[in-house]
Amino acid sequence: MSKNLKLKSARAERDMTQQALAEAAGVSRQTVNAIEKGEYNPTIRLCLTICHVLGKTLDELFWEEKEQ
Amino acid sequence: MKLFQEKKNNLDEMQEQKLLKLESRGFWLTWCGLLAAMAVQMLIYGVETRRLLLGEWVVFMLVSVYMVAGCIRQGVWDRRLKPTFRTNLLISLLAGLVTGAFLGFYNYRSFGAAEAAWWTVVMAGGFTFVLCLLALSLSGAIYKKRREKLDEGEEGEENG
Repeated sequence: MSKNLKLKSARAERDMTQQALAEAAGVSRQTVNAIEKGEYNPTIRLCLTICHVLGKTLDELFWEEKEQ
Repeated sequence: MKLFQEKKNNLDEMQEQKLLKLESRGFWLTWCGLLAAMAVQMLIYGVETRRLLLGEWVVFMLVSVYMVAGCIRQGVWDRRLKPTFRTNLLISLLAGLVTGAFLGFYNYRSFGAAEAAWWTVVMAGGFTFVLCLLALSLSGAIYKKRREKLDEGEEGEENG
């Protein structure tokens, strides 16, 4: 799984730390860090929560083009 | 008053998954460890262990039955193996060989009679093979029926 740079930049746009995003989404900072590093594949429920917190859509944060 | 009230989960989904993985590994380590411990005790203490191992054996069987029943109920078989006749045959053959060899060795150690030990290998191995094949075929058939029922239910809900 590749790094989720879109999530990282969306968080930066809002001037939020990983800790702040984690608290707003109700998860640990360890989990946010793992999602950004591509080490953890979150459930759709958590993806939606993160999208709501950052004011983005699922496509904007989590869509990946199919690898050829 | 409820003794065990449902409390808020302190873990998030990733931590929950990690804990489940750890618990799963812990379960299989315990299961294999218990089996190995019973086998080693049988070899060390001989015939005397039959009564001593009753508790371990009951726990081992209860846990095994719980796992099989739970998996069938949830429509789950195995991560890699499929319940085909060929697979069941191979697994049963392996179980028969291992059990036959172990019990043959156990009998030889306990009584010292080589011919009787060979008969144990054949009889115990043969019976284990047949019983294992029957158990796998039966549970495989029940699993397939359960799988069909669960798939039907899901289709119905989707249309409804």
